[in-house]
Formats: sequence, C-alpha cells, structure tokens
Amino acid sequence: MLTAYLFTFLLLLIVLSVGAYTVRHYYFTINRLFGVQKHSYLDIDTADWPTVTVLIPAHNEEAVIADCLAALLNVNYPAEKLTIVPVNDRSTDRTKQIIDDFTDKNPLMIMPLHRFIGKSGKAAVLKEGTGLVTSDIIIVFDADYLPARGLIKQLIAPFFDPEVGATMGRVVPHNVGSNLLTRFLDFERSGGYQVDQQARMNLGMVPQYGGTVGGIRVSALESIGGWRDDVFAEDTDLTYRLLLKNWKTIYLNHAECYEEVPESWPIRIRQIVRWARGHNQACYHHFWKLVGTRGLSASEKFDGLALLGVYMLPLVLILGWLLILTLLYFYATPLINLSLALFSLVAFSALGNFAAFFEIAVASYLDGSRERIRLLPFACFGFLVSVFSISRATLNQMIFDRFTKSELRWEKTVRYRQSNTLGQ
Amino acid sequence: MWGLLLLCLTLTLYLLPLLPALHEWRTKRDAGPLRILQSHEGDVSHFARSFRAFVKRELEALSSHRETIEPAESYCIIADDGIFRPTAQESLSHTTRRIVITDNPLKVPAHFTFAREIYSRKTVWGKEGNLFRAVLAEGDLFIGSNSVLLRWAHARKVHVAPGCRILGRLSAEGQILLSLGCTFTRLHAPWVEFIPEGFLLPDEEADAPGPVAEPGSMFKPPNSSADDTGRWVVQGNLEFPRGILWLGDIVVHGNVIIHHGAEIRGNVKSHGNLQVKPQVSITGSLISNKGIVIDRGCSVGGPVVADLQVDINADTVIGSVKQPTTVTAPVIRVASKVLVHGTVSAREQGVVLGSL
Repeated sequence: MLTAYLFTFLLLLIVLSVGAYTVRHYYFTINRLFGVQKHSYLDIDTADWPTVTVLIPAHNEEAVIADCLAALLNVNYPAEKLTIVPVNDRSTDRTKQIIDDFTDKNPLMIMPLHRFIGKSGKAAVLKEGTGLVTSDIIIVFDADYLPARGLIKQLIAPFFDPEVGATMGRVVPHNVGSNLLTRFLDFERSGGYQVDQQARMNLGMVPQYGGTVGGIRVSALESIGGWRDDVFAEDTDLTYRLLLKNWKTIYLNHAECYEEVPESWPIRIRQIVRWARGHNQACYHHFWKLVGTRGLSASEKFDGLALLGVYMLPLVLILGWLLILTLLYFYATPLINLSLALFSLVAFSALGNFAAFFEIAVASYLDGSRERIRLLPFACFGFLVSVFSISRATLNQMIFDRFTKSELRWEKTVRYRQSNTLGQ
Repeated sequence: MWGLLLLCLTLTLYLLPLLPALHEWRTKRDAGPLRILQSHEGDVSHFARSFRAFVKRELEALSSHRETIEPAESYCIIADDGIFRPTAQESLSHTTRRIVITDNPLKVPAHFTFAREIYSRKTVWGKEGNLFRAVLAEGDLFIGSNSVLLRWAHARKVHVAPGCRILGRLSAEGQILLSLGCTFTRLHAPWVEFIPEGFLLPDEEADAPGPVAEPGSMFKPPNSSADDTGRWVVQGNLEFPRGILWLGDIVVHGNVIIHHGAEIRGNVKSHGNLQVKPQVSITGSLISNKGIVIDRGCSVGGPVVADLQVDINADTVIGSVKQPTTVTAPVIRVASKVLVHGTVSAREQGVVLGSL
C-alpha cells in the first residue's frame, strides 16, 4: 500500500507540473487575444544607427547563399554601417566561389571568412566570425534566409535600449505546402512565435533568442564570455547567460523572415532531438543560477524556469501515463481514484483539449489564415512523435551521455530550395 | 458480421470530425507561406512615392490616349490658374470624388471634402475646414485650420494651422510646422516644429530645487552595480542630482528623475516613470516601460520611447539635423516651441498643447 501512496504522490506532482504548463499555454494565448500588445520599438525608423555585422554561417550552401547575399545587399540599412560576413566553413561545393563572386562586386560591404581548419559546428563558426567583428551589433542569419528590405533596421531598433542584449525576429516557413509534416511545422512555428514569444514579450517574461534572424550586442556578448562551442543549443544557452547578467532579449513579431522547415520525418526527429538535448543542457547549466539571480522579476524567473524545463515535460507526461495504468490496474482507493481523475483531466487539457492546440488555432487566426486550421486534429500525430522523440533524447542524455562523451557535430540542415527560386 | 459493422461504424464516427482535416490535406486550399512583403521597409513617405509613380503613369496614358487604370472621368486636371472649380453636383455636396491633378499652385475652397487624392507639382493651399484623403505636393502644403487629413500627405514643407486632425502619416522633405491644438499620429521630416500660439504658463514644479551634486565628488547611484560593459544597473528608484555629469548607460528598475541642468552622456532606461527636469542634456536615448516627461529647455540626442505616454515641454530639442531620431509612444503630448528632428510616432494619438 505504501508503494501505491508513493505512486499517487508522484502522480500528483506530475499533475501539478503538467497543469502548470497547461495554465501557462492558456495564459499566453488569452494574453495574445485580449491583452495589451507590446511593440515598443516598432516605430523607431529614424535614428543614428549603430554599426552592424551580419554573420552567415555556411557549409555547402551553393543552392541558397546567393539569394541570401543578394537580399542583404538590398536592405535599407545605411551601407556605411553594415558589413556582411559570410563564413564559409569547409564547403566542398560552389559556396566559396559564389561568396567570392559577390565579394568582388561588393568589396566594401562583404568581408568573407573561409574556414579550412578548426572546430566544426555553428557556434564554433560564430565564435571565429565574431573575432573579426568591430561593430556594435552582430546579426546572425542562416544561409537560406531571405531578409526583407527593412528587416535589419527592425532587428536593430531595440538596441537603443541599454537593457537589450539580444533581439529575435520571427521565422516563417516557406515550404509549407510540401507535405503534411511541413504543415505541422508551420502550425508549430506559428504557435511558437505568434503566441508564445509575443505573449512573453507582452508579459515582461523571457522571449528566447533563436540563433538566427536575431541580433546580439557585441559588448553584452563579450560580458558573458562570448559564444560557447561546447553546447548543443547555443541560442538557448545565450538567452540564459544574457538574462543572468541582466540583459534582456526582445522578440519582434513584425520582423519576419522566411526559412525552410524539414520535409522528412528523420530530419525532423534529428532536429527536435538536438533541440531537446540543448535545452536540457541549458537547464542543467542555468536552473539554479536563475533561481538565485537578483534583479529579475518573479514573472521572468517563473517563465525562465518553465522554459528551461519544457523539454522535460514529454518524459514527465509518459511517466504519468505509465503511473496511471499501474495505479488503475493494481491499486484502487478513493485517493488514488481522485488522482487518476485529476491526471486524466490535466492530460486531456494538455493534449486533448488542447492548451497547445488552442494556442496554434489562435496563432493561425492572428495570422489571418483560415482554411489551414482544419488540419489541426492531425497535429496530434506530430505531437506524439515529438513526445516520444524528446523523451528518448532526454532519457539518453540523463543515463547514457554520462558514460559516452560524444563530441558535438554540426548537423547540416538539408536544403530543399533550388537557387533563385524565390524572387525579391 | 455484426462485429465488423460495429468496427466500421466506430471508425466512421471517429473519422467524421476529421473530414474537414482530410479535405484540407488533400486539396491544399491554404497551404501557402504566410505573406511577407520583401520590399517592405516601413518608410513613412512610401505612399507618396507610389502615388507619384502612379500619377506619372496615368498622365502619360491620358496624354497619349492609352487606357488608364482609373477611368478618365475620375480625374480633375486643373487649368493654369490653379483654382479648383467643382461641378454643380460637387458644389452642392461640398465633396469631390475625383483625383485632383495640377502642374500649378493649387487653391482649394474652404469646407470642401476631397474624397480622393490631390497631386500638385507646386504648392497646395488648403483653407479652413477641408477634409483631405491624401495630398502630394512637390512644393509646399498649407493645411487650413480645423481641417482633417485621413490617410497621408507629403510635401517639401508642410504648414498645419491650429485645430487640425492629422489622422494619417504626414511627411516632408524639409520641414513640418504643426500648430496648437492639432492632433497627429505620425510625422516625419528633418525638422518637425510645434509652433507657438497663445501663452506658455510657467511650470512652478519644474523649478523646485532637487538634490545638488557635491562639487568634486563622484556620484554613485544607490543600490547599483556596474557590469563589465560599464553599464550601471540600479535596483529601485534613482534621482540624478542637479548639474551632474554622468558618463555611460544606466538601467533603473524603478522611477527616474533627472534634475535640473544634469548632463548624461549615454542612454537611460527606466522600468517605471522617467522625469527629466529643465535644462537637462542627454546624448543618448530615453526609454521607459511607463511614461516619460521631458521638461523645458532639454535636449535629447537619441530615440525617446515609452510604453504609455511621452510629454515634451517647450523649448526642448530632440535629435539634430545631422542625427535625426524618433519619438514614439501610444500617446504623445507636445508643447508648442518643441523641435524634433526625425519622426514623431503616436500609435494612438499625439496632440500639440500650449503648455503641459
């Protein structure tokens, strides 16, 4: 019987955690629908703009790098204050040649960096690229991104606020219609940016720097020790290191940029596994530091901790499912029945009724999309794949990674676009 | 047999709510990417540029008898004297629905509504009580008292008489002069001046003595610490003493008061209200999560951004000709005799008052 009560206690803890995340989803969504929307820096269009370096890590990007550079050369940021640094990391295709062609035509604006040795990985590339930077702000773009004419100014405007260490724009999937997976990912991005990130911004919480379509203040980066090339998710790690030093990350919902999302399930699973490992690693590094840091508001701490634990939740959910089955079939007391009912309610709210799906539906509504919302019931399948992939990654990380010190590798993102398929 | 039927029925019942999803999956009616305007740059004079190009194309088509985008009867081409002469029906309703175009200075009658755009290669002279949809003047633009601008206007120099409501964007190549009692949303020009009318009442509170910096002593904000970048972070409220010189950026988690005559070479951020007393000089930006009040005779070099309201009192200068900047908040109240170089953007409403 003692085991039963222990299991029940554990289950109630799980109910509390899953319940907290469910409430959080609803809170964010309702804030986006009815709350005051914070776009403080939206209208800064005239200023003495700071100097900016755009870093573009590129490894075998011949299909997309030319479009990205052409788009950057077309932005409305003062040319004398903008430097573009494509960092070619040991490409074996025509990437180097394309970059050099652009440099020959625009020698004052483009300063390429070709890497042939050194550690691989995006963080290592950024670390080396940042070493060359003499500007006030760095902006990082992936090589397949196509910035609009006004995007750089939008990303830079918040840096007039001395509290801002990083900014983050919104990435919008371009290859939405390719298959069911890309449509799920469109939902996911929409919910994540349109609702989650903007609500955090509105509520003075912790918007996350996403590693691309974002800017970083160089002095802030130096004050936290620069990029770390020994972490799985340098973006999440950076968000927290900045936060711990009282630097804010600002999310800009209007600063939109196209990206490509994975079109096959194995690539998607690899991507989400990497995010999970990176996030959990950040949780391990920063959880207690965040609890003890002075100068942060209660909402920042609560949201920061919740965000750190978000990739633990699938494992917790699966544990809850296992506990509920065990308790249902092997034990039965009024208290246990109550906890079972509670878990069912919370699990339903988290998965079935849909705090997360409500969020996606509202995001689609805010985006002005109408028909695509009909696909929402299918998103359960994508959700289940994520739950099991993340849980497996988390378990591996907790148990096996302690024994096998695997080295970080740059997971090259597959590009689906052919060169010059997107017009300006 | 019955078992199979039950299974089929159950499956049908399960799939029924998924039919819209299946339909959308197969037909892909809404499978395009969210639209991003790649050419979007948020330029305040964007509409003026587009309209200028539109007028050029249409005039060329009209003169060569080619087909125009708008029907030819939608245009009112003004003759050499530059006087707008309404038709009988227009005179009756005091409204024209034609696009008015002229190569000459244009004079429009008072209390008349222009439901379509106006284009003049020279100056446009508005009169009292006009309602404009949009105006593009290659010369100057005079908007008469108590007039309304609905969408946008752009000119070399714009004069706005008292009591006007500027509901859209107003921009100028050189100068905008906005009079007392006008309301506005977005203004942009190298020189935006809120011109004096009436009397400025003395602000007694502004002259109340604040703490004075001790000569030769270093001012260290209470409950504060400096980080590696030289930026100070202050927990709680902060008052800068009178006449102090402060170098560097500062972030304050409470309210900020910068007393008379202080000089700040850096940026100031406040989580609370930010009050700037008379004769203060700030080279960088002023940012507040609540409201900002800038008193008389101050100068601010960088952007002024508040989440609630910005009040700017007389004789204050924001930005400079060489370094124009932005003032933005949901509500902006500006006293006459204030000068802003750059953009003034009030997301809800801006208003010009005699004094604050």
